[in-house]
This record gives sequence, structure tokens and C-alpha cells, in this order.
Amino acid sequence: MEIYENEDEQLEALKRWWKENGKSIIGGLVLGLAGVLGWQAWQSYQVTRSEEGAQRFGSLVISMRQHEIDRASDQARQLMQDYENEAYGVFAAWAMARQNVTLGDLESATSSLQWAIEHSPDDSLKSISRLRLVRVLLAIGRLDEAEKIIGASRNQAFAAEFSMLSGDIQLARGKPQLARQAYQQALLEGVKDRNLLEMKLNDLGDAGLPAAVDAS
Amino acid sequence: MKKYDAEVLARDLGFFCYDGTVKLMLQEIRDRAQGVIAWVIVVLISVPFALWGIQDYLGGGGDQVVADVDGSEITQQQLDTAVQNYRISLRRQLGANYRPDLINNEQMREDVLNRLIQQRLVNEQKQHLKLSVGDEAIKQQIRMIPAFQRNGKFDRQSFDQLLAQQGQTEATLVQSIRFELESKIVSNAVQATGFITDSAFDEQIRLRLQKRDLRYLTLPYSLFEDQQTITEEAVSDWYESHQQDYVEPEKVRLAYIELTPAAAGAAIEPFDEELRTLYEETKEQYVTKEQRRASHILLELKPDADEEQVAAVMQKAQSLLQQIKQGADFAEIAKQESADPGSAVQGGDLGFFEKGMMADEFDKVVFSLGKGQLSEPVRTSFGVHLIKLVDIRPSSGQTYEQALPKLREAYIEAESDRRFYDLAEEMANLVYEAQDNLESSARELGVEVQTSGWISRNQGEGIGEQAAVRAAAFSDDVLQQGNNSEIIELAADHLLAVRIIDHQDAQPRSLESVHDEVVEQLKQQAARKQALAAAQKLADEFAAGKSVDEYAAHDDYILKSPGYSTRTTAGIDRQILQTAFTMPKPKNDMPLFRAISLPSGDAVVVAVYGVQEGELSDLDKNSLQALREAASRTQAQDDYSDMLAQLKDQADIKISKPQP
Repeated sequence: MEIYENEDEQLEALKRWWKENGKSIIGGLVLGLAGVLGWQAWQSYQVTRSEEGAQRFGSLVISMRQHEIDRASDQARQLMQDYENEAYGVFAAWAMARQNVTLGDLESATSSLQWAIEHSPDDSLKSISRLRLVRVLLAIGRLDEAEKIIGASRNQAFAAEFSMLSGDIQLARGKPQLARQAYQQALLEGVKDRNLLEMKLNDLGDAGLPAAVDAS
Repeated sequence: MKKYDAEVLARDLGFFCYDGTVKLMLQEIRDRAQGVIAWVIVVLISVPFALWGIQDYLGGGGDQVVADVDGSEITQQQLDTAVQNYRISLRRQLGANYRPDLINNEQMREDVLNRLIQQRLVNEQKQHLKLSVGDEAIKQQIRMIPAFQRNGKFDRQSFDQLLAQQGQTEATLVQSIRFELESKIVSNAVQATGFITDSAFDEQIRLRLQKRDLRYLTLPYSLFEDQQTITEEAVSDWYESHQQDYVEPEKVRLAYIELTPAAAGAAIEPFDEELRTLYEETKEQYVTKEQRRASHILLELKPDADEEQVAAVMQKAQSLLQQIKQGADFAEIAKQESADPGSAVQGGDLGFFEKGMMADEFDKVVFSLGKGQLSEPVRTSFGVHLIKLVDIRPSSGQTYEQALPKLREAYIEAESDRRFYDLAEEMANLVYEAQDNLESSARELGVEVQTSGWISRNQGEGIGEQAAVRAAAFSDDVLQQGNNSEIIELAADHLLAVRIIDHQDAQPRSLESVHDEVVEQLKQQAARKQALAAAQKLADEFAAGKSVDEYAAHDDYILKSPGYSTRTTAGIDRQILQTAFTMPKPKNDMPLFRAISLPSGDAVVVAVYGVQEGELSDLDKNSLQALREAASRTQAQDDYSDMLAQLKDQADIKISKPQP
């Protein structure tokens, strides 16, 4: 460590030190400050965007409830455009699909849900979109496609629901035996609407049931 | 904010990387540059570190972590608070039905923890999806909370008051509402966009509204009950193979001390002086004062009347007095002349009253007259009175000596209550401090240590009848550690503390002691089996063409023919309906039969004659609409819980061993 004789020398040394390092310190400060400010601006932009998304989606839901079909479609389309690959884009596509189904336009509903799958920012949203797509495909008899999606989306959490839909598909194909297998699988996997599943299963009737049941 | 934020900041600002390096650098600057500018720099640099550091120290230092959800920690304290809040809300919901002794605490803790984990998962998803709600939405939500409203409108004052009451600030409320609203965004989106296709809905209607044409024949259990003979061999065989079912449960005997006001006051022996003080203080309970009954005639005279008026009224009074003295009836004159409307109709009668209840001048005269005497005119603020004393009821009641037994009782009761509340507090401390015995606490409290009979987890006599006592006796602390229990509050004025003095492990019961029980059980089984076999035989015969109608008027069997029924038709046993709807559908008008056994032991032959599928036309438009919405809502809810399950599957969740 250097020892300084007097104040002048000290000041001189400090000036020298500042000359050597001053630029980088100031530069660093400016850069850092810009970084912090930029990050904050980005954050606040994100928040504003998300808040706006929430508001616009809310108003889309209201339009839908009030059966303002054209307005709801416009709002959904706009949201899908502005929030492509974001949650609100997917929500809007779901809303679109719902409206399509209500209007009996199932073909369009499949497109909306297909779009939702392709633009999902998140696996869990994707699972819901798939589930809904399978339901629509089943309703219009595009059974192979429905089965393909089920095959592709074997996710443990949704397994039971998909198994039940597999059963519905088999039943639509006229194969009650396979339907029973799928329903029983769904039962094992713990389907949420057990009541409905049991009704479906029981309705299959005689295939392979014991003749008498001792309830005790 | 976490520590690394400070590091990130240091990096961003172009400084150095770690705490240590930063400190070295500060030291170096201090050493090298001792001028004013250098100090300014040092101070400038220190500020952010000083500020960012604080939260690390304030944050729950050393709090145990019970679960970790993708790096977001749930601490013991957070779990405790959540469990506590859950308890409070349970108590509020259940009211008088709240039975803490019925709650499985471990299960509840686990449920609450799962809920907290779910909250974290939802929070993580929301952050990942960058979902947030605006201030305006939060304000709107707050304005809609009924507790903050007056006459249906948001009221600032109620808002401030309620917040203050709950120890919240506007900021914390906004924060929790924001959290709640943001957590619901995805769930709401899934709900709002849920749908059910026509074909799926038609299928549900077909199933849910399906009707089946049924009859059922019941073979009562009682018919088969008495036909059973059980051999001794069967009994011992059954006993051998089911020993685990014949076990005397674990039992304990308890020593306990009991504190009630009566126990607390058992030794109270009041001094004479104390009772005398009590007698004086509560004299009105023992002594009735002298009462007098008077009648009066009031002549109106205002307090500010001038002399002339006074003289006139006085003169009138004198003349009335004369008339009475000469034999006129006081009551008659009162009726005609008295200006006191209340008493005039009663002939001036005022009834009995004690001294001090009337105006002073009036009182003085009444309590100086003899019975039957008339007064001279008396002036009060009401006017001028003529008073006749009608009756005297002398003071009555008990002297101190006479009241002594009652006084003692009252004294001891009040003193017992007082001592009880003093001792209650002391009891908690004593019992806790002397963990390994009750005798010392009992001595201090002046009560006896008592002992109970044998008590199991589910049963007991005496204090063992109380679920709270059993729960305490079998708690880990008392059963395993051998400590005193905490204070058990059976009622606000009935406290107990227990400890175990005798313990008996669960042990097998001997064949002799369970013999009759086994016989009874085997009889039931055999009777059920026989009933079901009989039903099965009938079912087969019916299927082969035997007529069911033969049993329409059977002596013992009961035939019911409800016809087309739904899955939920009232008046038919659930299990019979369930069976009917599980059976295959009859083909070519050939009815199907199935024999079942009910929990009551009755056997039943269920017959299905036909099936009517549910149709949309079975319902009116409104019900249909409601049903459709319900179906789509249920489906959306199920979808969302599947989604939560997926989030859980994909997350990295570590749960530490459960904390008591």
C-alpha cells in the first residue's frame, strides 16, 4: 500500500485513479442503470399486456353469454392474433370452439381447437385443448383422428378421461366388448365423473357379467 | 428478495461478483482513497447492499420447511397458520356440530398441505403463463364484497372499519385479492369455454333419464333366521380363523384431578364478620321494609302560584277536610275533587309503598300519621294534598341469625366461583410443571386424586364417557410419554387433568367370552346365505317360465311392482334400483331376473321387463337447458382438476416427513 506525504499528493493520486478507472465506472453505471430500467420497462409492459388480455377475454366471455355471435367471433379472432402463443390466445380459441359447437359448426370447432393445440404456451393447456378436440371429433364421427390424438397424448393426469373417450369411440364403432375394456380401464385410472362412467358401463349389458351378484 | 438478487444487481452495475469480493473491494477503496470523494463512492455503493440485505434477516430465519414445490418452500409456520385458519372456518361453518374430537388431525394436516401445494402449483403456472390482473379489476372486486357495502353500495367507512378490525391494511387486502383473482384466471377460462356436444349430451340424457320396468320379490331375513343350527365345531373353527376380530382393545385406567367450583370451595369456612358484612350488603334479600298504604285528594296548585291562589286552594282544602271530619266519605270526595287522575277513580288510593318513594313532604306526613288518621293540608310541587293513612304493613324478614344458613350458602357459592377461577389458572401451571404426578398438584389445589375404571379408545364409564377425556388419555404425550394431560375443559366450570396409572395392551378374547357372539354371527351368515339361495332358485324358476304373479299374495314373501322407474325413483331400495340398472336389457320381451342380498339380510329377486331410453322430449326446455349447463360445467370442472393433477405430476415436489 502506498503512503502519501500530504493532501496534495493524495488528491493527485485520486485524480490519477479516477483518470484510469473513471470511464469504466461511469460506463458500468450507465450500462447497469440502462439494464435495470430496461428490465423494469419490459416487466411493466408484460404486466400491462396481461392485464389487457384479461380484460379483453372477460369482455369476450360476456359477448358470448349474451349471444352476440359476430362480436364474440371478432373479439376471439383479435385475441388469437394479438396473443398468438400466449395464454389468452388459447383461451380465445377455446371460446371460439365453444361458440362453434353451440352453433352446430363442429368442423370449425376442430380448427379452433387444433389452433389452440399448436399455439399452447404450456403443456397443461395443451392437454385441455386435446381433450376437447377429441370430444368434437367423436361427435362428428372422425373416429380415427380422435383415436390418434388420444394415442399421442397419453398423459397420466388425463388418462382416465381419455380412456372413457376411447370407450365412447369403440362404442361408436359398434364394438361394445372393446368399449367395456376401455371403460374399465378408465374406472381403474380414477375417472372424475364415476357416476356417468358406471352408467355407460352398466348400459353395455350382458357381455361377460356374472349371473348373480352377492352384495354382501 | 433473495440474496442472489444483490449479486445480480452487482453484476448488472458492472461491479464484482460475490459478497466476499465486494467486501474486499470496499476495503481496498477505503484503504487507498481516504478523501471525501472516496467516501461518497463508498457510501453510494453501500446503500443498495444495505437495503437489499435487510429482507434476508427479516425473513423467517430457521423456520422448518415441510414441502418444496419446484423450489418454492412451504414452511412449518405457513402450514400451522393454514391449519389454524381451516379449523376456524370449520368451526364457523359447522357451528354447534363442530366436534374437534372427531377430526383426524393428521388427515386434516395432510389435506391442508395438499391444498397449499396446489396453491403453489397454480401460482407457478400463473407466473409461467404471465397472467396478472389490473388494479381496476381488484377495485371492482373489493367494491363487490358485501361486507364493505352499505345499502348495496361500497362504503368507505365500513371498509376502513372492517380492515382495522381484522388487522389488515389496504395493501395486504389488495395483495390477497390479487393473488386470488390471478389464481382463478385459468380455472375461469376453462369453465367459461367448456362445452358439451349434442351427441354427448343426448347420450347422457339417454342414460340419466333411462327407465326400467321392474318388479321385485323380497324374501325377509326373519324367515330364515330361526332355522339355523350352529355346531360347536363350526364355532371353534370360526374363532380360530378369525382371531384378529376377537380382541379386547387396549385399555387404560386413569388417575385424575377434577376442578369445579364445588371442589374449589370445599374447604371454605366463612368468618362471622364476613357473613355479617354480606348480610348488610344484601339486606334487601332478607328484610322487607315497613310499607304504608295511603289515599289522597290532590288540589292543583302550581309551585309558582301567588299568595292569593295559595290562600284560595288552602281554604278549599280546609273545607274538604271539615266535610270529611264531619263524616263525609273520603273516597267519594277524592273521586269528585282530586286532580290526580290515576288515584281519583280509586277513591284516592295509592296502594302500599315504602319510605322514600313519594315526594319528601308527602312522605314525611304519611310516615308520621297513625293508622286511620287524616292529615292537615300538605303542599308539594304537585299541589295541595289531603292524606289519609289507610294501613301499615310493619317491616318483616329475617334477622342476621335467622338468615345465617342462607348467608353461608350464598357466601360459599360466590367464594367458590372466585376461587375456582383463581385455581383454574394455577391448575394449568401446576399440572404442566409436575409432569410426572398429579398428587402434588392435587395438594396445592386442595382436591383429591381420583381413579377411573378401565377406558378404551372408544368406550368408558364415568369420566371415560367423555370423548375429550379418551382423546387426551390416548394422546401420544399421555399414553407414550407417561405425562400429565393438558387441562381438559368439559365445561367452562369443569376442568380435568388425567394421567395413566394402569395400562393393558390389546389382547385376544377367549372362546368362552365370545362364544355367543360367534354363534349369533354364524347364524346370521347362514340365514343370509339360505335366503339368497332361495331367491336364486326362484330367479331361475322365473327365468324358466314360472309366473311371478303367484307370489302376489304370498304369506311371507313380498312382491312389489313399481313399473317403469328411474335410477332415483323414491321408495325403492337403492341397491335394488342399482341392480335393476346394472342388469342386461331384456330382448324379445323376455324378462330378466337377478337375486341379490341386501345389508338387512333380506334376499330379493329383481325382475326387469323392459327398458325405456331417456329422451330430450322427456324434459321441458328450461330443465333441458339447466341440465345441459350442469353437464358442461361438471365436465369443465373435471377437466380443470385433471389439469391440476398434470401440474402436480410435472412439478418437482418434496415433502419432508409430516410434522406433528
